[in-house]
Amino acid sequence: MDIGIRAGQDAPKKVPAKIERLLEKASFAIDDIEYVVCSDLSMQGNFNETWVLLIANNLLVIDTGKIVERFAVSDIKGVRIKELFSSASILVELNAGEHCLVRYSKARTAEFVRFYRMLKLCLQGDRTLIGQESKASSCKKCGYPLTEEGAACPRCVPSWSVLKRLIQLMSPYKSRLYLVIACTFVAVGAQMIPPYITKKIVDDVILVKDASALTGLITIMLLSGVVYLAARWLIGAVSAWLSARLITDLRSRLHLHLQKLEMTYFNKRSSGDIVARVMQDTTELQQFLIEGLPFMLVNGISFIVISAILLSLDTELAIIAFMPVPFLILGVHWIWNRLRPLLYKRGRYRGEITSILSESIRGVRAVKAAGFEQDRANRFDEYNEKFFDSLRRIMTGFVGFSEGSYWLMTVGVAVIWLFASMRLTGAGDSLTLGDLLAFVGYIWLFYAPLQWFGVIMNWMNNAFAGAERIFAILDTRPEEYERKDNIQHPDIQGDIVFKDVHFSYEKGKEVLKGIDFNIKYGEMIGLVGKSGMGKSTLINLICRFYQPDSGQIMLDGQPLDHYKLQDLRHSIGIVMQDPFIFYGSIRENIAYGRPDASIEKVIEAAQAANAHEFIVEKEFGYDTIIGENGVELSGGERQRITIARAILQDPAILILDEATSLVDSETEQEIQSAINILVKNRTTIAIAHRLGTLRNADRLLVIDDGKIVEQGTHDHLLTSDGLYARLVKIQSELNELNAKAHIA
Amino acid sequence: MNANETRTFHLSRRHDQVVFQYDKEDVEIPVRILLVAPLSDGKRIVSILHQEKKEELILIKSLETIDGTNKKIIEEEIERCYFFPKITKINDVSIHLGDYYWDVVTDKGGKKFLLSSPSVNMRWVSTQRIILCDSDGIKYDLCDMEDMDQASRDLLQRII
Repeated sequence: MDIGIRAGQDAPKKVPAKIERLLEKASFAIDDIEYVVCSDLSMQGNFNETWVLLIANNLLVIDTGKIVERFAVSDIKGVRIKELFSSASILVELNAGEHCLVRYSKARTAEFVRFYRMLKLCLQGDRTLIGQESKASSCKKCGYPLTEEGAACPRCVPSWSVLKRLIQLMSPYKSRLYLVIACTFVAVGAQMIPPYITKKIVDDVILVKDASALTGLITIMLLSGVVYLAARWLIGAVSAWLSARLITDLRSRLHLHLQKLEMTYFNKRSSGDIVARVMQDTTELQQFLIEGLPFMLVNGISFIVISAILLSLDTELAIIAFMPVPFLILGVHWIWNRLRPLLYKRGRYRGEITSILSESIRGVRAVKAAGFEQDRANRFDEYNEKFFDSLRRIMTGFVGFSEGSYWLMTVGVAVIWLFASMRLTGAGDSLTLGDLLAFVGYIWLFYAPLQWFGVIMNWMNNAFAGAERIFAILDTRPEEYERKDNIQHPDIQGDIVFKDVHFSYEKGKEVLKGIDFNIKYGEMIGLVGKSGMGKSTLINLICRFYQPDSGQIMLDGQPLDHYKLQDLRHSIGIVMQDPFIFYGSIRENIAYGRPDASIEKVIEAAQAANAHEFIVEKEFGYDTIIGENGVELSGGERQRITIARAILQDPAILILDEATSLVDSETEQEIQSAINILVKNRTTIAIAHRLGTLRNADRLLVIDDGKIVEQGTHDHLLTSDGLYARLVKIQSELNELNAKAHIA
Repeated sequence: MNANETRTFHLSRRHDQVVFQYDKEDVEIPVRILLVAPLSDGKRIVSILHQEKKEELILIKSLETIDGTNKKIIEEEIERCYFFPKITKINDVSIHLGDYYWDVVTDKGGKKFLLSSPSVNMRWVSTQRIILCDSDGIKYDLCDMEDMDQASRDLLQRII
């Protein structure tokens, strides 16, 4: 069967020259290539390139420079992905049975999922997916994987680009930045004066025994000290203001941006990591900007100015003074190459200790019940000792380097004294005692910062690394809150339609495999199925926490993404299994999302949720503080507060995600009557494992393996003797057993 | 049920699929061959699972007790399903923005990979063995570190 595939203009069809030659030898025309994908595994499971090409209605597999497989597309009956561990394979169904087309590691999942979808549609005569290029997943420069598809490679981005962005962030505060730079020049200038005055005093006052200029010289010295002090104070104060301002702005931007990111961002990262970005990285950057950057500025400029002064005083001595510098810099470089990995290790061990400690405290009950106190202690001690060892090695390295570099500087100064003294005691030299003393004064100003140069450089690297991570968050694309074609001021009713919706959290692992259903306004729908079948995923898509991979979701006849995100989410109320209670008063918790609601409205909502009585029994009633470090509430109380919240919000669409699964039957009854009020005249989607709670649903959708396998009322599905009927039977048997055990 | 009991079984391949059959029965069941504890017990304990029902048909407590075609098919299938490169040499390891960039040689060939969140993705199985999980989810076996060449050990010493 010729399914008429023709070459697409934008198909990813770049192949290396050796593959082109191979194709030509096999009488294929390069222009006939319609799709190309490259695996990183050979058929034997080794890291090697294996090319798969769709060319002239044929699928070719090229491995180790040879065409190892060739199928006419018309011979392929079906295609699927077989997930393995850290790898997968594409299987094609032929007349003789299933055959492995290609293997690939997880690194190539995105490309091969695209290929699989393309091929699947091609077999149905649909070639819409031909021509979809995948973004680069590894850096073209260094070859290492990218942290995000299509993103810049952190290894190859120059450090100065971070500095450039930081300076751009300071642009609203330019005047203060210029003040800091100006004060830096003033401070450096003032710092250069005392050694010069020393020279003048020695040469023009003491040696010639003429004190006439002494007062003036001392006054200048004192004044320069005052100017230096004032300049340094200004630098410190303004830098502190600037850096604090910058970091405050950054944290605000970060926090806001994080609120707007897609859910997929949070799936891939731990909350601890994200919090560390916002707090620790910004703090480290701030510290560097307050202390490290002024140090670098002042000493960097000093270094240049002092070098010029030394050369002007005496070239020979200046060259001697410069000699230790390369050794110091090399020494810094050498020691930091050794210390940097230790610093990372120390950070890691510290993280482990914190984690173990936190776990031991949170899980103290479980630890005591199992008698594992000593075991936990041993584990803590193991990492504590490793932390001690890394710390010891770091401090030893620091001290050794610090003393060693001080010795090197002392040698430099001693050599200068030696050569200078020899010249001074000789005849006919222009060098004066004043010159020498000035020289020695400048030398210590010259050497001292070099010792800390490495420390500051490392500090800068860490701070800029933190800044890079911060900018990586700010550069992540947020959810699309508004579009030009958004419906303005919609009056959302709650008609929902799913049309052939496919979705996967992780590429290659579909959770929803073609979902079709519709919900009319005001209907109560129950979603039923075993754990992991896709029920909560449906909810996530309705709330637009994620976008479907394919298919369409309609709301009131319009595509879901035609609604402004805020309008959509304000029209959806969710009561979750684990109710979210934040630190605040009960009133604030109920009015979350409607902070302008009056106390009377809050009370009405609480009464409807059967929560009012237990609230007023608290010492401070609706003003009682709950949440972390607040008053403890039982599971049922927390749930009723979230129901009150939903009632107050008055959403068009209500989602009950296992709202009663964590409470006992008695509490469930109380909550159920509140829920019954809530669902009236409102599109409701309820997920529950206790099937009895869905008995009153207008319709039940039974989901299995990502598809809707049954639909109907409770009574209708019971008589159908399908999956729902089996689930009900199992639950009934379980309830009977529990009842018998309870009686016994 | 385990392979030490009297009920015997027979494995075969239908193209890419491993098929299980109890002896003297006609029913062929497509199965998955899985290692029960690949890190702590290697390839010793094997579970044969019904592919669709996900029910265990046989738990083989020691692969050494199996022989012939069954063993061959089990070993081949384990080799195919478990992609777990063993690192034999380390060309370079560097740290950038808190992520670890590895350039290694494995028993499957050379590879460059990125490892983030080392506290989570570097798992110590024993004092001489670490499982590394890269940013794509591929796991690497870093074991027998003392047998590696000096340059590799020096690089490792800086990191772990």
